[in-house]
Amino acid sequence: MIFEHEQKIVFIGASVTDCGRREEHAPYGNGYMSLVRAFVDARYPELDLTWANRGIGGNTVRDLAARWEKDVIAEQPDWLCIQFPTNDVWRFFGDHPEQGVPIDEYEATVRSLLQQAVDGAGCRLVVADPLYINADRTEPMRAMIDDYGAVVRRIAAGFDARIVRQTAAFDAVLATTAPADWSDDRVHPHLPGHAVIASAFLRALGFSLA
Amino acid sequence: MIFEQGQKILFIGDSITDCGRRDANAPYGNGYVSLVRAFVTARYPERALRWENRGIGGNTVRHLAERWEQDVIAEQPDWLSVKIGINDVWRTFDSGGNGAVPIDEYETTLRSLLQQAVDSTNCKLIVAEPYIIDADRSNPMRAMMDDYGQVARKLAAEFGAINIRTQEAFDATLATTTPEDWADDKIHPNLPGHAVIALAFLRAIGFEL
Repeated sequence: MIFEHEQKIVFIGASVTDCGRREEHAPYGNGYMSLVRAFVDARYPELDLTWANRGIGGNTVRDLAARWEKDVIAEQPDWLCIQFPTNDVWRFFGDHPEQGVPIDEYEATVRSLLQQAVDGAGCRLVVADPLYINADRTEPMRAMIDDYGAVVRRIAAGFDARIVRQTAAFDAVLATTAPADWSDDRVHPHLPGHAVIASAFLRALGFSLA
Repeated sequence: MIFEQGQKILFIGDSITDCGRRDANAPYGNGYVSLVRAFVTARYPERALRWENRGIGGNTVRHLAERWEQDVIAEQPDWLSVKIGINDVWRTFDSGGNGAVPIDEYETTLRSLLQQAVDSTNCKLIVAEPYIIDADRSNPMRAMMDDYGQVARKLAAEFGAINIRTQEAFDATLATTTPEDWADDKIHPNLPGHAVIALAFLRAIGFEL
């Protein structure tokens, strides 16, 4: 387990991180973040960790950049867990393609966010690439998600981040199941889908069941 | 991991198992059953397991006996997980003994229920011990819970069941924390407390992360 005694862990991202944490499921939401917290606290209670969820539904990296100072730097986490949103890509395929984030802007923003976090908070990073529950790599949105995911993983590696491959985790379960088993819209998971993400995070954190 | 392709897993017990499965959090509740189902499904999706929660808050072994035919035998599970005994003990302390189940009756009834399940459904068994989230073994309710836990453990051994040691799991966490970190009333866990139970369960069934 990479977390150490009395460290503070902040999660940030979009709706899959948020999961009602600002309202009926305050303060942790009812998604993967809550699962990770519950299992890490249950398994390593002596670490006495502090947790915060700063996910906000609908965010792209532009929105993250706008609130990075307040929600990340000011929080001074020891570990920052970033779930990069699906929205940056998804917007290109919906009613507001102008809200999609072009890949050059995306790369520059991702790099800037990670650099600011390390410089401004002195934190270490856990970085999840954007998720999309669709194993068909020829589908246009899936192909674009793969390109954006590769950007995230390449930049994150340069910051010595722990990397969580969310779309790959769903590819594994989709070998024997259908996207509808995990989500109604291929992005927002049901609880077992959140457990797919949580399991990928727990493995990246060095969680040991024994 | 012991659950096999297409098998049906049925959980029965009291409020810790129930956790709103009949209303706000249907059909699995939002406790350890839901956590175990979510993580096992995420890790072993190819097994296409089927899950049922038949917990009802406030139940003792007497209540289970009344609904065993309908909620267990008729369901024909491949695996039956039974977690019962907290209320059997608790009623001695919160209701002046009204509704409490003496330890001999607890043992006789639980043995009979497990035997009926095996005889009528040929299911395999998982038996979880009752617990109280209090490491003070001199607390009378803790001492009594330990006795009932020993009965559950003995019966698990008799039937060759998987045995979930929930009390030991909470005792381990209490070495560095307080009961309030896990439950307001030492019985009904918050989500990390349910994760303590779920982890004990996942270990016992051979789950690998």
